[in-house]
Amino acid sequence: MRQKILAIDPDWATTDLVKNSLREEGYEVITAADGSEALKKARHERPDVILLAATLPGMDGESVARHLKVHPDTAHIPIIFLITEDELENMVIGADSVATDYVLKPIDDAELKGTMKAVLGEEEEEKKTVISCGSGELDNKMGGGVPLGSLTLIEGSSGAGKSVLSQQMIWGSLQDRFRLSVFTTENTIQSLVRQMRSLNLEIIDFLLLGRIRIYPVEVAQLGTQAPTTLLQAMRRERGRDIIFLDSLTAAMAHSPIEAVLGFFEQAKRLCADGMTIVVILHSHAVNSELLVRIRSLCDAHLQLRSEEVGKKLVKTLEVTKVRGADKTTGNIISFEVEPGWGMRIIPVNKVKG
Amino acid sequence: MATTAHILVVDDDHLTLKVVEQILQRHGYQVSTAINGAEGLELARELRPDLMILDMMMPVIDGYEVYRRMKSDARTADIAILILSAIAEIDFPARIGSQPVAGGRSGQPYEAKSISINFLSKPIKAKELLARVASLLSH
Repeated sequence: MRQKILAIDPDWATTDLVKNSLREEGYEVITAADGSEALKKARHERPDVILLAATLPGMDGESVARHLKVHPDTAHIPIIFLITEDELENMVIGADSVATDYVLKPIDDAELKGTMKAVLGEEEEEKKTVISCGSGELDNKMGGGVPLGSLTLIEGSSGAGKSVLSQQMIWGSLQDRFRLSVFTTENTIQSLVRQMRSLNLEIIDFLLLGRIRIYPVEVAQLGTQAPTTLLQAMRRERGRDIIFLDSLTAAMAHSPIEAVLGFFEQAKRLCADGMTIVVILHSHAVNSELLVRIRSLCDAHLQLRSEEVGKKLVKTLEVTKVRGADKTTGNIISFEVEPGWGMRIIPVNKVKG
Repeated sequence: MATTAHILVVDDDHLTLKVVEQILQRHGYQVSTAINGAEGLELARELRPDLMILDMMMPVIDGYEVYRRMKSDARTADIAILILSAIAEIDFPARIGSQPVAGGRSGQPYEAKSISINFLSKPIKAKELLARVASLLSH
């Protein structure tokens, strides 16, 4: 199928130039002259790339881009800004940019074509479809990583490494340019940042850039309303790629079984709508029958244990289920948590020896 | 300046590299770019630029490590470095392994042991970066 480009510029000479240049390359080109026309066409035509003049009559390019990025139908479309030299000098470095790239005006034909190819190629190559732990070895053992769109349960007893694993996943996802929201009952923003720093996972820049949002939650005050309130809060984070909930344990303490199952069913619905949710749960917080039902509702289930092998206490991660995994799962990984390093996989023979 | 100043920009973000490179070139500087810390160190040794603009937040070899290695290698120790980071600068001397003598506000250099740290906090307008580069190179 031909790739479709939407070019937005009030100056017809510019849109004509873009049209001619890109049609030569086999792209389909449609145009718009202002912001409101652009938004309408973007939603209706679903272009593969948008070329957007920074200066427009009425709504400026930046506002048009923000509108596109919050609308679920258009949020994924890469935007290439068309800017003047003056606008380049006023460009902000290090902000959470809505632009994928830009082309300077007056437009150079070769530069436009090159940028377009790079952006379209990059999109295909960079679109990650799994949550990575930021470590190839760990991902590999987990069947290639947990697919996006999964409702994932990380479960284990105290000190088994649930939070460490989730923090590795948070780190890996940030590296892959996902936007995250983290609800934590275990930490304040500061203590989570510090905890992750001690594992050599520095997230402060991501936090300042808004790529990760951290919400400390006091569930004790919510009582039986905790699961419902959490769900409402999670729904408000629509548009984010991945939500982490560390942990659900306290929220379940005062809730009836129906409310807990209801929580997982609703969470699963959010996943069907394109969200990815990772829930951390203490194994002993619920009875075994309920736990079985929760596990079956989840798409991925990672079980952590702290086991005594000989005289040593060893942490293990069992990947019991990953729906849609690239490779087979059922792996048991032994690991230790080392300050300043994070999760380190221990070879099986070393554990047994 | 008798010759054109040569600037090496190290950042893992393509868009930032492109903006900084283009704006510096348009103002007459000679610019080289590196997309990660390892490449940055290699180019610094090879090209011996007048100034390195260094992003802190990079995978594998981050900016702190690049800074330390630059300063501990005789071939690169005298190259001026302008640090670009979203991290609060107060953390800085500790993380590059020195103690500050006197604190400074964002955008102002302050002494850490014997080295002067040139720091710019992100986000920042391209022309502000340009102004800072010009003032650093005129000293």
